Amino acid sequence: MSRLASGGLIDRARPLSFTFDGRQYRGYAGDTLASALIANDVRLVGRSFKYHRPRGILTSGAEEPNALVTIGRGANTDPNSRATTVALYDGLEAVSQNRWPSLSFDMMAVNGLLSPLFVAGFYYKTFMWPARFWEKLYEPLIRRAAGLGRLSGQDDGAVYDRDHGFCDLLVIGGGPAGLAAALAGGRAGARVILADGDMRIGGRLLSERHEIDGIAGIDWAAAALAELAAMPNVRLMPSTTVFGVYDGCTYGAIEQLAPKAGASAQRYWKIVARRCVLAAGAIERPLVFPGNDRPGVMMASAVQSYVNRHAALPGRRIALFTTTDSGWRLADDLRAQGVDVTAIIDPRDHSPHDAARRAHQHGTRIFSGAMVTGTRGGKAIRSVDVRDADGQVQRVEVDLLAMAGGWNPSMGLGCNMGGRPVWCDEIHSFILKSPPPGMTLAGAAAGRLSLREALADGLRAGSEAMALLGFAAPLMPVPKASDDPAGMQPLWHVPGGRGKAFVDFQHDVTDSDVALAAREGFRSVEHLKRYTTLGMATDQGKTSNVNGHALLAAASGKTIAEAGTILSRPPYLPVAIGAFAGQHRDEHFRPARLTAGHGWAQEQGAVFTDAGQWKRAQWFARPGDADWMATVRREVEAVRSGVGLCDVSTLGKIELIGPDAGVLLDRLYINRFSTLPVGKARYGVMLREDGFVLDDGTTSRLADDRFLMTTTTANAARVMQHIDHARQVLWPDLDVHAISVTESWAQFAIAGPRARLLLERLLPHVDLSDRAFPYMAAAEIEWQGVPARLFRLSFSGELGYELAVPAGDGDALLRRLAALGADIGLTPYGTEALGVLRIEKGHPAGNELNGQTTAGDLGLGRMMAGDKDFIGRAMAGRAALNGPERPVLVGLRCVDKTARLRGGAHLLPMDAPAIAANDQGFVTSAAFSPTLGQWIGLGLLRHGRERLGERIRAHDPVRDGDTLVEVCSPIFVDPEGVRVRG
Amino acid sequence: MVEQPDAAQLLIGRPGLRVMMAEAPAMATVMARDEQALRQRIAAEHGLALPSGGRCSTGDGITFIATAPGTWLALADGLSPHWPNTLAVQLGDTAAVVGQSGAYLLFRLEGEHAAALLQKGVFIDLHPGQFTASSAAVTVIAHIGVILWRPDDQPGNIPHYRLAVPRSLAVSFRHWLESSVALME
Repeated sequence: MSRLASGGLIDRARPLSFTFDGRQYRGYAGDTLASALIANDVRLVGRSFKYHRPRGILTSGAEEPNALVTIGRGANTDPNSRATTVALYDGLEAVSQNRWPSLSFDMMAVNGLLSPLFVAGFYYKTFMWPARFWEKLYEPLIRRAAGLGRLSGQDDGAVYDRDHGFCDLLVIGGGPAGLAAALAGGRAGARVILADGDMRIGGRLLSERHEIDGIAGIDWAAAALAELAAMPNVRLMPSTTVFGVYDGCTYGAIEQLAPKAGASAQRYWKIVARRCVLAAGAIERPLVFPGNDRPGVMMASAVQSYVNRHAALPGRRIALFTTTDSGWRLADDLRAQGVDVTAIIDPRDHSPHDAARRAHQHGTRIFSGAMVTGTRGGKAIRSVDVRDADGQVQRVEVDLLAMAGGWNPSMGLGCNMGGRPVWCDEIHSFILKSPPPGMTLAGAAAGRLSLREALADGLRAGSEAMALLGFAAPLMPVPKASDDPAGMQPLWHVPGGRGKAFVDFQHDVTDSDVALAAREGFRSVEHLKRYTTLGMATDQGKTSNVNGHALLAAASGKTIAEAGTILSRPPYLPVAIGAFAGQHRDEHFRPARLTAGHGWAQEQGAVFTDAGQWKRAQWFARPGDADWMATVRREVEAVRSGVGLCDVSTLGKIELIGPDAGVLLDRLYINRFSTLPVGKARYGVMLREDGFVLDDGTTSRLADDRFLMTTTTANAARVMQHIDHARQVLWPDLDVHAISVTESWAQFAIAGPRARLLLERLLPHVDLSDRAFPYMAAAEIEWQGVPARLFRLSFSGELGYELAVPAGDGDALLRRLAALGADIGLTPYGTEALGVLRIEKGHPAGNELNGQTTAGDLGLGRMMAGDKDFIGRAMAGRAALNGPERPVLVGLRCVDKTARLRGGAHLLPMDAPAIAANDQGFVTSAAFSPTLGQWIGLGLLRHGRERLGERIRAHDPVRDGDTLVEVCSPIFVDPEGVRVRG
Repeated sequence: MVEQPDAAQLLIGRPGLRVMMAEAPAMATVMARDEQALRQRIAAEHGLALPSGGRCSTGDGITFIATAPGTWLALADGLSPHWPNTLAVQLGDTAAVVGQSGAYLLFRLEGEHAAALLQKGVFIDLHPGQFTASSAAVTVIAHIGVILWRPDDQPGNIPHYRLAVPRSLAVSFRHWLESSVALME
């Protein structure tokens, strides 16, 4: 065990048990998985992406490129989790990734021997021939060999929630700058959200030893947090990563919740903040030297975190390779824990004097003007080669090498809206001077790296935000803290030495890959990224980009400022797709619309089908029905011979009110409605501007200035838009209002020879005789004290009515009808039977109103009024829409009465070969007609009206059908329309 | 106030949060043809000022919610579903009135956690200082278009909310409601 006996922010009273690669370990509450592994002396945690090199933990934060593990099992598998940010919990199961058969013995490590093949862009060069092998062989092979974690292949077991936040000030990052900014906002009385990806807010104050206002930095952070937590206007959000910045000062964030029943749980936040302070700190930069990826090479800041925060010691013989003064502080921190640093290697000639003196006193070997030129060891570091100022190489035995190469401000979120970072000579890194609207960068994220600067900057940013928002900010003194100048001299690359020097640990991009890319002409940072994959994958180059871009600049003879750096796009850290979907998955993917009669239909054995969002009864299976075809046949026969009941509530219903309602309808429909008498309904067809049919339906006149339009289910919203466009944009002068009432009414079709009998029982006070209520009559009536609407309409061709009541009364009406109709065989029917009935009657529906047909094509051309204007009129007059070659609506019946006709079959002359040149149309709708005892269909056929009686082929290559059909009138049943008139 | 306590169904009852669902009372959409005349008529008939955008007002047992420019949803507590016809006659040619009595189910959310629950679905700032008493919004929860309003505070000053949810979508809305409540801390 490498757990220190005391100290750290772990709760030793709460031990936790977990497994890694099947082995049981113990940690404490407050551990991350990484700190617990370190405390248990686990050094090897993963294999690299391409070469399968052994890798250990590099960092202690979200920037971790190496220590990616899979958490959980089965449906709760969460691959590519950063061990450095996973809060330990009891029972956590983690396994390593990208290795076979085991982490310790990985056969794929043979890739390392083949590394000359796997240079940058290798897949463009190595797997060129034969080209057909790419998809089948090369790509699958590469994908198997190179990779990250794998999904379980099962339904995601994770729990996803969603929430929305609004605040005056969003502070991203809870280190010294963020805490100061939040205090400025909170004390001013503003609504503040402080979000930090860490499970504990405090930033580097939790990992470093400082004094602020005379107390330990960690205690200062705790006091600040306690003050903020007590403010009702402040919301503290630990474990919350802000992943993106969007228009309108909107921020996306993911809050990691405590696992629920073994499954990870997350909450997706959309936050709108009037102002934002980005105080995300800085990320320590690795050094690029041969063997820098060996397990046991770790960032100095990470070692500080593990030692100070988690009381876990990652090594005992420790060397420090640093180009910064901040790196030297690690030596002091380790000494405070009783661990002396074996050697400190600083390429600079002048080491920080006091720190060097202290180190020297404790026996640490100090190499000034020196560099690490290599590391030795297998799956863990054993020694480092140090080239001293005289050029002599010395070997130093170590089990941990801490490296400190400087600091890169963590400003990726600030680039989300297009702001490009610029080079800053002062801190030898990129900073952002053009943040998104509403955002200010503060502290280390703004390049102000010392603690005193960070505190002052956070306070300034918070106070300025308050002033901009009009809050009277109380005057707050800047907390007193050490200046800790992070003096540094950049070292982009250690020259000489043998072995691979990694720039991008996650994607196995080395210094020579960058040099090769530059030699081959990929000299823009964006090209470098695509060619070498530098900065891709889950860490998006958080530790590698600046080093890579500096090396590119050097290789291409530019300054780093000229070479520039890339823009960071959302998400800042990977976000599970499921988090965006939230609860909208499986059957809840989108909301479903249920009619008022849904429950009753379920009781009647309905099978439902989707019609847009609606669930419509497709048919009502009954015991004894052989199959669905038998059910549909039974339902059709009931309508033709008795009485059927169908829920038509899903059809669009739009009321138009006002003195000009008739005029508007005349302009919407091809036929005239202004002359429609009150109490009558009329069938209408409307066109799009381009002259093709938009929709059809019946419209009734309920009063002089009030019409009720119906639309097809599919086009209800579209027609409403069409009407609003006409009303508000085309003819705002018309005095007419329109509004959808689809939700308001439950409407049922009652059809069949006995329909009147049933309705007379239901509505004894209404005269339903042909004289009083003829075909196409419409009336507002009352049923059991509620308003109702009765129409004499028929889609089936039988005597038919439609009765509407307020949707809240729909269920009661259905049950009443069912009771009244039980003795006369009332049969509920679904959309399939509805379809058969309308095909038998030749009524066009969705299959025919397909956006490519004109009124003329559908045999409705004569409805077009010649003496009025209407939408689509001009374009409908185009020659191409009126040519004799246009396929027109016909009926089709199989010559062989046992043959089956299929929708979509191509219509060909009888003896013509089945090629596209002979195609004359297609079957739009087909059904078995119980009335005719055979399959029939509707189709669009060239010269169709002149071809009645002709035999043609319905050729269906998809389903191996080739059926002889006879062209006929589309009206198969009751062509004279006697039955609808009762 | 729109209250039908006898018909309301308690969906969620836990400390600090009660959610009830009820059949909507008589409802109508009122669309102004002459807005000034309409305002005068409403003031004369019902003694209340028609609310402007984003607001609602209640008086005489009737709540008017501004849902679009020149458009209001009117709810009449305890009146018959024929009431829209009565209202149409009252308003004469100042407005077009369309009955909507069956169109919505009403949800009532109350308790100290009501705003937190609602905020999970609504991308509008519900802070009591922002979405004040008599505020209203036509918005979306879980892809479902809803009308949300905050009646005047009851004694105790804890905000409570009303939602009109299209009847056909009420089952999906309840799925959002129940799964969101399950994840509240």
